[in-house]
Amino acid sequence: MFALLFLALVQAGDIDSKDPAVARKAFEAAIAAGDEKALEAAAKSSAPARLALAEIRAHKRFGENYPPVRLVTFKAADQPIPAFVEDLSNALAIPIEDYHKNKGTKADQTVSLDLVDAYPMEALDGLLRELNAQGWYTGKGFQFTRGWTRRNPHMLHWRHGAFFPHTVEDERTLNPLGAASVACTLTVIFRHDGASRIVALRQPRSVEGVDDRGATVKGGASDSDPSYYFLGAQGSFKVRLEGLTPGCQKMDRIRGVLPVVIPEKRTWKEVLVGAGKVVLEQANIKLTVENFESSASTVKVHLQIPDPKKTYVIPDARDFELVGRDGARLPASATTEWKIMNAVMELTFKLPDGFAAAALRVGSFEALGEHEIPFEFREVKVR
Amino acid sequence: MRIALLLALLAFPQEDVESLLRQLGDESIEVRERAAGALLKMGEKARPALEKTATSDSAIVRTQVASILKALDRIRLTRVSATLVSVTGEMTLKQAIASIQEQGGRPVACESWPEGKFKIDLKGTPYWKALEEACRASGKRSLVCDVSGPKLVGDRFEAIPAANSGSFRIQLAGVAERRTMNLDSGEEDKSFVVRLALAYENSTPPVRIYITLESAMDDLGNELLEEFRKHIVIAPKYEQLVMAKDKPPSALALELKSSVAPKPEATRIARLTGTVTAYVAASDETITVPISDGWEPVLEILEDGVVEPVVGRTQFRFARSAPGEVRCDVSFKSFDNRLVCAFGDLWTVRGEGDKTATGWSSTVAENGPGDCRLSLEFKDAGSVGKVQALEVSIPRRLIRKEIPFELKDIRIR
Repeated sequence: MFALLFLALVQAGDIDSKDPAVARKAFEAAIAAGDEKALEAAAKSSAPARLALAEIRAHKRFGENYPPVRLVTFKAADQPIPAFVEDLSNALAIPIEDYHKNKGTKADQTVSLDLVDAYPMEALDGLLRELNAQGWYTGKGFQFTRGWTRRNPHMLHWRHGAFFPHTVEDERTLNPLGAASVACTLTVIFRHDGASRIVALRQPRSVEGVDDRGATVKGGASDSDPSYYFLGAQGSFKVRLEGLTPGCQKMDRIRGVLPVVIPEKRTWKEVLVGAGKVVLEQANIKLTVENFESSASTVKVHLQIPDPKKTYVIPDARDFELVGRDGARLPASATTEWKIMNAVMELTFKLPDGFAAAALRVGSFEALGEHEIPFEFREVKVR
Repeated sequence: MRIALLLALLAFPQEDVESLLRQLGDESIEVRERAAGALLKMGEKARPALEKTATSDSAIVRTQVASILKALDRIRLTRVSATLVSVTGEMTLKQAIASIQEQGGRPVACESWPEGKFKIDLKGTPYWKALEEACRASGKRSLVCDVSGPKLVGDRFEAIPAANSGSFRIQLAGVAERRTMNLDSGEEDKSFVVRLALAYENSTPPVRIYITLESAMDDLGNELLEEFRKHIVIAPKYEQLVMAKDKPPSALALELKSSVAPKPEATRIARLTGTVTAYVAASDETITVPISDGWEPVLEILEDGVVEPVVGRTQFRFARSAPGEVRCDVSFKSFDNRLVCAFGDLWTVRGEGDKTATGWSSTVAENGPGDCRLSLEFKDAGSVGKVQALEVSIPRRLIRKEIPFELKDIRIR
């Protein structure tokens, strides 16, 4: 029945609607319905249907590392700031923390925000805009600090991610033999929410656009690889704009896809109680589990990244379970303290009465997969 | 042991490599030591044969060969003088370059070697000059230097502005006019950049580079120096660290930046002069700083074979800024001791019971000679207890090489 309803939505063209709100709602409904056959049929003539199909397959492939997105509808009118932050935190189901603990916030200061079917990053950017703040994801949730906010006219929110072009660099060079060349490079920032476990960015693909003189512009690969900082859940990539008309001022449109790297196929190893210090080698990360006893409610794990330039997956609480002698498994909560490229994780478990641990299960991933995220910006000034 | 080796070297005439390699396995320790000394004295000529022998069945030969190779590496590492090469006769460019390569220096790349022979007569010519002279004589390629190594490019010879000094060459790598627009703020940043490559022979990747500009003038007589200095020099009269951490395989890229482009009518920089000071590691020894005020010499500068101790006075101010954190401000009261305090070096603070914490040098403030401050911050240092020592892994001994340059007629438009 639901599939039929969904098919009707697709056929009605909602997913291709020119109204962004209608299109987004239909797009997410299509993903939630998960009817790949219907989407395969629709994908022949509909780009959004093709994207929805790819998203369904990514959710299946990466599981909890790339979960479905929940749209948020939220309204606050002239609300005191602490209550506003708490309500939005509840609506998004993630902790939101003021880094300065409301210091300097006047009691009578209020904010308003009206969100309908917003993506989580979009909702958080709304918060930052209203509070004149900047923010970042931490291992536990979202943190912000007030005093400055980003007002980029090209902010693009798409499911778990957000893009914005940050800088344009126009360079005219003469090589040592006197030959001249011109290069225009766009730097784009990509951020993602805490629900998606993105661990690296790759060079963007299929980048193309049109400049204000109507010329087709190709996006060439930059000399530098995309950067990614897991502690802030963000990275950046560069696109060389090749074929810009001399004298053009802006790009009417530029679009492409960004491949992001997500871990897949989790496997587990067990570290037995009383085994002493146990070292587990994972891909470009070494975990040292300190000795623990059967009654322990905390376990310390040291992390070491041998080569920070290579991709690595930082473990989080989901990668640990305490296994009881009776086979019961307890989930972990975790705090991580970083010092350069080493860290200490403290895992904490809520032990039921009579629980006696037999082992700690430690998860790792067999592979790193790629998923492509689309982006499109309009009216980007380049000169 | 060293004295015995020297005596042995003086006492015996030089022999061929194969014979000396055989003697490394001799029953007599005197014969073995004499052979090792003679091989070391032969230097790089003995290297290919030593490398072949490095997998000998005899453990004693293997050990000695490894030791000689290590010593040769060290000699090569600490060399800042040019390799002198001789090439004489009628040959192709490929043959001339191959002959230069055989005599030392870096491999030279060329996408397509030109045909045709030419006459060349170089005797005892420094490596970089020899490469350029070979290109000039052939008339068919130009020498450029970049991080991947020397390359022969183009279809004719053009003298690219450059200066050679010892094993180093400073060469124009290009000029750029750049405009960066921040799409958040709408602000624009304009810059004009002269790119230089500091290329070096195999033996001499520098660990610290400073540059002092003396003059810069366009072809209309306009002074460009002050604008360049604003960006490369903190204290105008003194040197500025250009690059320290990365050690690319062949050349360092230096950028002289100005926020003001030369006037539109200017087409060339008529003259650009200055000096690059390169420091080359002479040892891998780690410097350990005892925790006391008035730290006395820890660094030696080895210049042209002369060991020159540097008197330094250092002050430390430690503070535990937060639980588990140690901050340390270090003041270096001697010009040359700035060499130990580059931005981005990894320092270790060692406490009681050999407990350690690590931190990066995060801020360097330089007010000229005799006043340099470095800020170190050690996170997670709560367990180190009373601080016993600071350690930083930088060379204790350095070779200093001054590389003056005068680059003329740099095309900018």
